[in-house]
Amino acid sequence: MAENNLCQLTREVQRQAFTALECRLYLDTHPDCQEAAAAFAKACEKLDAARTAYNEAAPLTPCAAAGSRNWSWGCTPWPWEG
Amino acid sequence: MWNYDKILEFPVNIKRPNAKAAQIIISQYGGPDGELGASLRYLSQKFAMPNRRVAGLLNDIGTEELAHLEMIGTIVHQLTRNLSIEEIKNSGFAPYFVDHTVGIWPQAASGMPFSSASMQSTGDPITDLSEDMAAEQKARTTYDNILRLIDDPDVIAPIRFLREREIVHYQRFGEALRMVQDDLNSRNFYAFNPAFRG
Repeated sequence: MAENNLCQLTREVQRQAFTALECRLYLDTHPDCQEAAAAFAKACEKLDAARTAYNEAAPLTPCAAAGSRNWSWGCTPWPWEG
Repeated sequence: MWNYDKILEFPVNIKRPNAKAAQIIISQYGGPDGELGASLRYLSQKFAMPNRRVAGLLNDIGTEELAHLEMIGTIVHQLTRNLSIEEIKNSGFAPYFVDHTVGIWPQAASGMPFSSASMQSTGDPITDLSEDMAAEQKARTTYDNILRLIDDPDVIAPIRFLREREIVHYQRFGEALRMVQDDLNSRNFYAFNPAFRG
């Protein structure tokens, strides 16, 4: 159950991070495009929410592991473990 | 996956161009004991590292090495921008210049291109961590030699910082090796590869 939930949280971060990345690359070469700027702002907001939700289950970054007992950054599974 | 922060790990602000210093320091960009090789070594070794905490250390240090690669690139860039063609001719920089102008290309000071032949990823945690400790010492030696060859305080400060990081990484890898040895089966007295049962 918990693992399933982490899977869903991961997919949501991946979705929002990918959307934000696509907008970002487009903005790099189209810096005046208001439509892309708006889409990027929206994606950043959703990405931020997805990351916050993920961090409640497991640390996405070392800072999210701050204050954890026994340094959870180093003992939760790594993505390459599958 | 990775994200980028738009700052250097340690400031680099070099006021005087110096092509001779650039030719020496580029070894830490793409040389045999440079930051690119360091990063690829650790980020490749992490996949076969069975101890999760040690795998995390490889990932964290491999990531920091990318920030060091950026610092070295910045140093070489700042040392070579605004060079006159006379300075390029008189400083021995022409052989690099003819192929790369003042672009940054991973090579050793000798001109040898970057090669993964100077690093290993063996799939054996004890072998890999022993290599990593040696790699940090080799990079520290290279920084010691760079510090013997340059006199610009603007260059010395970031190089000293990088040198100190080699010492810290060496310490951490030593501890990681001990953690992996603690995981060994007591019958594995000669510390054969604990990550592969063939």
